[in-house]
Amino acid sequence: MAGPGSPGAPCAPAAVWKRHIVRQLRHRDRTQKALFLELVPAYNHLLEKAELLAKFSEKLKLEPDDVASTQNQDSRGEFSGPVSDQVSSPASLKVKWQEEEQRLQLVCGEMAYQVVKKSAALDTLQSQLEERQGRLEALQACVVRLQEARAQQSRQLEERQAENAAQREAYQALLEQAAHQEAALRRLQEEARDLLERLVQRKARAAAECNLRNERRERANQARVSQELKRAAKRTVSISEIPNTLEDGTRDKTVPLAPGDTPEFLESETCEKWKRPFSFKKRRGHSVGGAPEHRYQSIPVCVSAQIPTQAQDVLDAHLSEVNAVCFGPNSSLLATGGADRLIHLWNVVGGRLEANQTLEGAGGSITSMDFDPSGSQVLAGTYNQAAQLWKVGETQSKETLSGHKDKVTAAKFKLTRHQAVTGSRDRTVKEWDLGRAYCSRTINVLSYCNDVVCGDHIIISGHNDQKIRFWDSRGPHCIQVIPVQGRVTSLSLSHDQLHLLSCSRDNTLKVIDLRINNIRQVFRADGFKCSSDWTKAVFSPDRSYALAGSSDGALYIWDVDTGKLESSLQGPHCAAVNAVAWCFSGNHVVSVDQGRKVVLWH
Amino acid sequence: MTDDKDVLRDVWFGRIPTCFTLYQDEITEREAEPYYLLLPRVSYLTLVTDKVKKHFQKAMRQEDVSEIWFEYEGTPLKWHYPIGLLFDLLASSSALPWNITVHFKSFPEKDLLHCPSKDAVEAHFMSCMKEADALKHKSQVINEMQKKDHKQLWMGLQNDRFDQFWAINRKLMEYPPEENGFRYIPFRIYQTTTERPFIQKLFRPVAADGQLHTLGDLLKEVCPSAVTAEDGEKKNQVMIHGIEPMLETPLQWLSEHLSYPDNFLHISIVPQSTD
Repeated sequence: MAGPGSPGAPCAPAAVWKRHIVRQLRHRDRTQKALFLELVPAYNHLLEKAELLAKFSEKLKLEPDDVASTQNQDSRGEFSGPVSDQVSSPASLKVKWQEEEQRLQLVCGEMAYQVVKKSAALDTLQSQLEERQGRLEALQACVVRLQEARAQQSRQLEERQAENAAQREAYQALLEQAAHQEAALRRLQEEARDLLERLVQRKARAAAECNLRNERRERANQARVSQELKRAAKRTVSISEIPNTLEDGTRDKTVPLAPGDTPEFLESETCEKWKRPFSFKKRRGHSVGGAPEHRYQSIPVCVSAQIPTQAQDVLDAHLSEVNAVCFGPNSSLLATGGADRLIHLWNVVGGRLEANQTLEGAGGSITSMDFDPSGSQVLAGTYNQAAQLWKVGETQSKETLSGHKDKVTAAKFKLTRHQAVTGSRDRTVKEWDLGRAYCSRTINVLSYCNDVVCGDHIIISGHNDQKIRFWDSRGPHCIQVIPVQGRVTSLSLSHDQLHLLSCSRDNTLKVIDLRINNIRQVFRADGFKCSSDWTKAVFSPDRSYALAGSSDGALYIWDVDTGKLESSLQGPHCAAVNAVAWCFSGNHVVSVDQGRKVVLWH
Repeated sequence: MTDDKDVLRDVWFGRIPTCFTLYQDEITEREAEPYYLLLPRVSYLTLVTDKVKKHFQKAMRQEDVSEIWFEYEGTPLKWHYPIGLLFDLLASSSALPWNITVHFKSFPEKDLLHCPSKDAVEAHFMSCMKEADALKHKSQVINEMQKKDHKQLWMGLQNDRFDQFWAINRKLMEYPPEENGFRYIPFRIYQTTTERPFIQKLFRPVAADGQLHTLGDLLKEVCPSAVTAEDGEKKNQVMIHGIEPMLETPLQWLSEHLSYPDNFLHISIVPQSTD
């Protein structure tokens, strides 16, 4: 109902209409709003409640059907639909429940079947699992074994490696040692080289000095000779006959020796190849068989040898022992050699010894000497493992035959012109070619050789082993061996080369016939004692006597034919007699002893 | 002044008891009870009828629901009119509660505008306010306001917050002191009997001689047929907000205190009811 807008009392016009409006508004509100103000909300509230209740009631209706719907998962949608319509009677509900029960039983049966199936599957799976586990254990055991084997192998490997390392270290040590040794070797080699160089230098210096001295001597000689020639040219020479008794015995010899007397003239006569046969400058390269050999025929000289009876001259010849004595071919030249390394040449003049020359330059004590058949050279064996050659007239040795390894005990010229034989304590006998000054042959003689003599083709050596050996100079073999008692100290060959005299340490002398090679005579004497290993004994030139010196200083002379002691000469020797020599003419005998004396006997 | 404040509050909190009934031809799954609601006079239909819609949609199937529309005794209710205006214009003489029929089908395209969302209502509301301020202040005041103030006005209306709304709205009710009122009064005069939806003209609140115009002056000027002649019988009632103010009420005061929230004076001319 709309309030009629009746005008109010007409008061102040400004407020009237306002009051009117206010009143109107209040009235309106009273009628329109106030009445319904509580009603409408209350109504709405009730409406809401009714709706809720409706919802609840619907839910309650739905519940028995909800139970069935939750069991069956597959078909859910069916029951959410119009369930509310089937609520009606309990009978229908019961039917529904029974149906439900049957369906559930069916479902149960199905489930049970499925359970059985599943448990069977589970059993098979479990058995498979067990089997797998068994295999796994077996494999694990296998793995453990293999790991052990591997550990063992690795241990072995370590051991081997350790061994390897140790061996490598040893090898390294050895390498170092080898290096050290090599270094030492090198040092030693260098030292050896140094020493060798020094030696060579020293030798070179010695040779140079030698050469220098030789040259000086040469020059002096030449100067002297030229002076003498000048003087001689100026002087008028009166040729007078000088009786030379010494010449007689050797006259026959000297005839063929005439060419040998003046070797200087011989020089001018020979052909170019042989221009200076006795100058021993190096002349290698000539063939061996080029030159004809000059030989000196030895003609047996039947000269009656005088037995010396008295000492004619006594001299102190050397500074120490005198070891060797030798007459030259012309019986007036004598050479003595001793331990002072000097060879003195003496002239036998009027029963006296006159000093002629001194040959110097030997490297060691003289053991034996030999004149060459021409009388112009002297060959001497020395302690210095060499034999040296002098020309008569030159004081210095020109040639040295070295090569022996021990002292040369004997050195002899061969009857051919340019050959010599040396015997040495190094158990060799060497043949030398003097033209070239080299050893042409070495014979191993198996024992110390104490003396050597040469025949035409024979070399005879006497040894410490109490044997005398014969060697053919053309062949290498020992032809004959003659044993003697006692060490052989010297050998002497008769001029006819048929008899050999040997002196040995059993204080005997033996004469050996070379034709039949047996001992013919044995000489003994009371008081005769061989004084040393190099006591020399000689035949007389006519082979009728044998002479030897004894240790008591006496000379003993035996008759070769009879074998009896002929005489013994006592006298000036105070020491043991080392060597004796009988001159070729048979007149003189010279003996030398260990007391530096040389005695001329007549 | 407290009277003025009371007036404002009474105007804001005016309510109309309404019974919403679903149209019987609508297909329902179950019976739909009518829904009662106290509608605010100053708001709009589509703002306040959410619960109604939900209530009736519960009873119907989803596919049958289309846009809701309301009608009263055959007349489709325009949502862009304030509710108070609709009631005063159509149902002021009928018995309370106001029975509105709810329709979901057959939306009358010719009579009603579609209301797709609340933003449409907001746009309509703000355009009305701007129009009002254009008449009152040449749009100066409304344009000086920030967007948040406009939002506040709308939120105040939507949420039924008197203080929130009037904090901003009072600025729109001010006028420069040299003037005695607004430049023009924003008003609309509604009559059911005429063809035109409403009458709106330029009308100054202050006369040339400085006197304030009254409601009677306005009616005489703009809609003389509405005012009774010397017959003595009042044929029509001039209703604003459900009351009949005296014709001597100054128009400026009416515009300040009896405007709807969109700052318009919506005046209904209804035939005199016979008691």
